Amino acid sequence: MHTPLVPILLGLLPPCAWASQLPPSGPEPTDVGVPSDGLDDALDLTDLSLEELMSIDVEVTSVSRKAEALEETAAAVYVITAEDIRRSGATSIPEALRLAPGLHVARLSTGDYAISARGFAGEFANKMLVLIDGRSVYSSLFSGVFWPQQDLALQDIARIEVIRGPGGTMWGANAVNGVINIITKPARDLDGTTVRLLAGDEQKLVQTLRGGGPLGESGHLRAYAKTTVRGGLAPPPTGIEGDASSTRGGFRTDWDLGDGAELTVQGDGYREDHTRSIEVFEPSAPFQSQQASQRRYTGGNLLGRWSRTAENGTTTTLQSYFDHTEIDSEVFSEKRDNFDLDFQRRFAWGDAHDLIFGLGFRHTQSKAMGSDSLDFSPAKRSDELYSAFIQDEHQVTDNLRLIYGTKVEHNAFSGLEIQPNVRFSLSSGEHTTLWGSISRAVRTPSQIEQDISFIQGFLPDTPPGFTTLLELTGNDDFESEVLVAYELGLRTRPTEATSLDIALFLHSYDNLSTTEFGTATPIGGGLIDQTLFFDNLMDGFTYGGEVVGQVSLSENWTLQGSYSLLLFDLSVDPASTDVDPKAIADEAPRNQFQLRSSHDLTPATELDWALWYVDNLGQQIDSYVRGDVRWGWNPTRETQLSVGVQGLFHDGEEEFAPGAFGSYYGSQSLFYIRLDLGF
Amino acid sequence: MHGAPHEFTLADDPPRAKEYTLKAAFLFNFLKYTTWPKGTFERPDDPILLAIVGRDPFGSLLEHVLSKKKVGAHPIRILRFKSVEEVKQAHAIFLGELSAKERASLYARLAGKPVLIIGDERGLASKDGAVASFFLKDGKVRFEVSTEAIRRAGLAISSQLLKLADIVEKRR
Repeated sequence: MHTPLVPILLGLLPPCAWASQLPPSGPEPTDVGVPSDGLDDALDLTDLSLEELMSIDVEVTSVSRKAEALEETAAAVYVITAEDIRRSGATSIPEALRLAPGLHVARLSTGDYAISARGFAGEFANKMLVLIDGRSVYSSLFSGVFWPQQDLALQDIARIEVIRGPGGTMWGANAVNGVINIITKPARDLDGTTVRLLAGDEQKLVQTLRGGGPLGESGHLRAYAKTTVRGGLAPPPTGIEGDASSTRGGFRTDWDLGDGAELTVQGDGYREDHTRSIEVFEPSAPFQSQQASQRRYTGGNLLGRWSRTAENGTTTTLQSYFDHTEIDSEVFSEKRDNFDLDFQRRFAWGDAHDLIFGLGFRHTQSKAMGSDSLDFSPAKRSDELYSAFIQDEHQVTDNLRLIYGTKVEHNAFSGLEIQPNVRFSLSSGEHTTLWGSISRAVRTPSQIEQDISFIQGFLPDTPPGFTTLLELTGNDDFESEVLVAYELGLRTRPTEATSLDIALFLHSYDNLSTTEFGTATPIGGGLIDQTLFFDNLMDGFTYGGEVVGQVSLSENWTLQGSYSLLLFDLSVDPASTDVDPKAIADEAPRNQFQLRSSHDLTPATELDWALWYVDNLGQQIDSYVRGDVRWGWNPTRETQLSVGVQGLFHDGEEEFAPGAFGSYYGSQSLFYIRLDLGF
Repeated sequence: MHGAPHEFTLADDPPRAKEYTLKAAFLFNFLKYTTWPKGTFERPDDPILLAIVGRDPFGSLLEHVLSKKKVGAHPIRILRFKSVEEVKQAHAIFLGELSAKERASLYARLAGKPVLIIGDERGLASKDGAVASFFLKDGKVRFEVSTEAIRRAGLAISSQLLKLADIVEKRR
């Protein structure tokens, strides 16, 4: 839907999406071990004799550790571990996401990113669902994620699961092209105080203070405070420098309630200020110009999760959160409150079935305020989302597992949505798994598509003697975009030190978004109001695959390589008047490569580097190579010094084609130094 | 993916999972095959105190696995001490991540006391060090035992365990 005439979508907002439902993922270390068995069985080997214990293999290399956890998963999933993040030198969640194979991560400004798997990235990328500890951060204003809002003390992140392909059955709407599931460590993992100071060309100063310890007899508490001051990317031709500063803090408490029950209460609060260049339009010459725009994000959230695993392995989880967000800028402002309640139960049914079902409810209240160029109607909304899902994992034989289930949900924008999936995983031998899936997922409409009126530009002297005003208007008939995905994957670990993960996909989309011409009405003053509206006049396919290989060259040195291929085949309804509906295909790199090395030079020194190749984006963005390098010195367990450069070889060039707000900021080689202290 | 609330969520901290799952089972066996001097326990159902000193690589695993178990009539109670200075009464001690200096200081404090000290790397078991210590060989968990350390601590360890151990004193 990005057309040259219609730079579209704004940057903004709205809702729709409701999305996600989230199966709370409990980062409990009780899951340690062999994930595919009952918890107790997996962890308790005390019934084995000493002789038996001595005959069991231990997973030692990081390759096999990672591979083991993933081995039987019937989906294309990659896990970014805490260690990966630490060694990458990433200072924000989007930067850490560059580590995930098959994900297209393009930086747009100091805080804005275009992130998606299998295409459809953009400032308003709307087909990736993002969760932080079970809380959906997918905006209901526009279908997508405001990345500047999303940050944490990165050391608190246990792992980031990046799922390519649909996850609608478990997670609900908008988990279309993938899911990014960010999971933090349990509070008990932090005992003491840590300080992180980071300074550099771009991250002028990042300070993170964390502390944790026992809370009463059976609880743990951890808390953090973080401030950042950032800037330093190459500005667009307008020369308007971008920068950002933020202050945030949060906490997490975990309580062992006994009898298999646990309670987690956690929350965050933040304020983030951004400056960037945006394009503005006016009805007289020069018709458009760039100006500096300030955007402020403030918000806070509080989440509680109770879960209990009974003796028989039945797990019951009840989770609720409240999330308040505010965005304030010249173009639009928004206040939003989300209240979410989720219930889930997982239990064995007979010997071979593992059933899980869940119920969800979300209430959202929002108030949007526009400006001269943007209007919301209605400005205030109060919407409900109801959902239910059920899924069965059927262990058909020792080697074959079938997984099938569906989600049913009702949202305010598109009504009832059904998102079923069926998957299988077939393991042959000890370390090889073949999996496949057919799944349906929907991307539900948003406020942007149904509620807005947004001035997209002025065309001087069109037709001669008039100026045409392009006004994007909401379309209540805009429907969900629908995906049916066919996937096939193979995971194998031929030796203790090597692993290979291959996923192939065919995504079949219906009702893809297009931007159509509406009515043209003279409104006086030599102006003609040409309306545009969203419609669903495109179908098509994407297909391709991702390959990830890892090898441990020695105990101290691991290499990882990945390649992803993405091809588009879109067809537009002849009735469509969209000027360039297929532009979306040009906004995804056809080929991406990544090579990453983690090397312990000595027990106390680390050398890490990574290289990326990202294909051209149509005619507008050339292919590029980007490099990161980091040297780390850990004189004691709790003291670490890192120096590094990010964005090598890719100086001054943008990573994404101009969007609704004009040109984006260019990448730079950015030096940093980071000091970690623990007390 | 069982054990986790939904399909795609993976086991937490996959890194050491299985290694320490195994080691937890070994620890249980060590307690089972060790006899403490008479009078160590006042009553047959007094708990065996197993302390982890330094950073605990097991996470909450020991609670899950051992706290339900009994050795004879003795339940097992898990204690944790962040530093050597904090160490109080214990019947068995697992050495978490500690510096050589911290270990030496711990050995000195416990010299002559009937405490089963278990290390987590090769070379820690010795006549004036740990009684036993894990190591990995060919991808499997192995353990070394110092018979001299057993004697000095006044413990008795069953031959069923010793026959599987790498006995430090037999190395040449």
